[in-house]
Amino acid sequence: MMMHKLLRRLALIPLLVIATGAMPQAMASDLVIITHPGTNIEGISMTELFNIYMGTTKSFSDGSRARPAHQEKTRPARSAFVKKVLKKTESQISRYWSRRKFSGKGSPPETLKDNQAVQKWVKETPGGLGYIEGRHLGRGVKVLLIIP
Amino acid sequence: MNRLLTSLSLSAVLSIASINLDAAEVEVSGYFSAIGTYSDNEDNIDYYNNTATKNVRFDGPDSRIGIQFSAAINQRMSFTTVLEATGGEQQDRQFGFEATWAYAGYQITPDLELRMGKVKLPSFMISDYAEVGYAYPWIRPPEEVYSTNPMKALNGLDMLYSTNLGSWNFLFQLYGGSNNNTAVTHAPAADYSSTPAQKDETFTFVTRNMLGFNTSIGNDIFNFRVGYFETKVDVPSMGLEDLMGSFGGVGFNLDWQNIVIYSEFIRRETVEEMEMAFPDQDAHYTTLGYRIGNFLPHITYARIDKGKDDSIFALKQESIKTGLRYDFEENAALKFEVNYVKTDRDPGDFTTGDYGYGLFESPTEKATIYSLGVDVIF
Repeated sequence: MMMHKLLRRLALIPLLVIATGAMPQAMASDLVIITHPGTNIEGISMTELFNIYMGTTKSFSDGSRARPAHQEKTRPARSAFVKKVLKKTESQISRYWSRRKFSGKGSPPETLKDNQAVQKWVKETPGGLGYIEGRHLGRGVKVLLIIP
Repeated sequence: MNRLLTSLSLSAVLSIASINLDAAEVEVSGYFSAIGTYSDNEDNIDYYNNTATKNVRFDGPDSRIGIQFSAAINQRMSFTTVLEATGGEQQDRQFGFEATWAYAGYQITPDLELRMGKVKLPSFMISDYAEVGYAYPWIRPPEEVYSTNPMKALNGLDMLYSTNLGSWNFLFQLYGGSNNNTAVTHAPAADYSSTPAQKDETFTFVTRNMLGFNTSIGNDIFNFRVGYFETKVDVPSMGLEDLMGSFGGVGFNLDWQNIVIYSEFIRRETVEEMEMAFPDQDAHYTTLGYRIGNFLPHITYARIDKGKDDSIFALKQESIKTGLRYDFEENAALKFEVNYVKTDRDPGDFTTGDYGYGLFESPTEKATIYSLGVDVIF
């Protein structure tokens, strides 16, 4: 009985490897959307990402709480994310949050220093969500989306 | 010695602040506006609660500072308060801090929040942030519309339902409660009242059994809203008691590529006995702007007019406001505006002159109001 269970678990391993292998490899310059390994979703759409970063959704598609993080405004990854996902200027985003914040409708995502800080924080924070450049992708995080 | 004491007390304050931050993730943010105004009115008649006078002034009601404290007590509960100090004619209270809002929020589901306490009253499209100058193009929201309801808060509760359909956000807010408010004496009423109140003095009024809703649908570039409330009103100084009033509005705004549009229409209706304090009024404005880099030139046409009951106390004026906003820092904007205001010719109900009051202190024909200001958020 025990053996049977073990075998079934072992049989899953190649499947997982294949699944991971099937995920397109991130290029060094790609923007990689990562989450904590415990987050129970396998991917995220651009719209979901947008809604979470603009604060109109507080949770992932499975209902669990999302904790998004930005990089500092001087970082290239931030500029790429703001341009490709949020499709706004920093001033527009600043005005947007000034309206939401003082309406009591939430506050902007927290801001972390750079790629390494986001990688580390997402790895350690349940529900953590962030973006990093492909070249900084490390172990211990789950890749949700690769944006070329 | 003094400096030492200052730095000691400062570090004491900072360490207290950091203890609080550890306890419950307190978020502190704020807004600040310093606005200078000047009116060229020939008869030296003040405009809109002394917002603009013949003297250049920087301590009018548009100048303000607000500090918001937001504490997340746990995943579901939060507490928010805004302390605000404004300029203007409040005699001993000028620039005194007051808790203009203070409420506790409880997140029932991720889409549904219940808030209790002194919550914001969403009478207008931008009621939620009407005090945050940085958040909108003008120096002040168009006064023809925004003067029609002096209430900013509601003592009671509101229920906020917000959900997404793709990139669209739908919001429905239901609220109820009461409030003690002050308003500035309605100028024609001051002339006509049997127990005359003095012009430009504040009077208190009480709203009870207020019930209303506010709903909007929009995305990050477009937003459309409809709101309505009904309330019982008492104005003790005018002997008015238990009278019905209603207030409704619709509006939209657009911020698409370089184009900025704001437009709102409101309608205030009260029973006939109330006309001296709050006559029926219709009001609207439309703003068009075009963003050029960090500059936003804009133009607004606004009008306040008699409402359904055609009351002789109704205020009537129109204005054309041209302005320029310059975002010189990411969290700061410099603004300049020229507002040409013209009242309607008085039909003869008042013997005081040829012209009506509009939002002026006394009957007058017109004025050009110049405003210059800085808005900052932090």
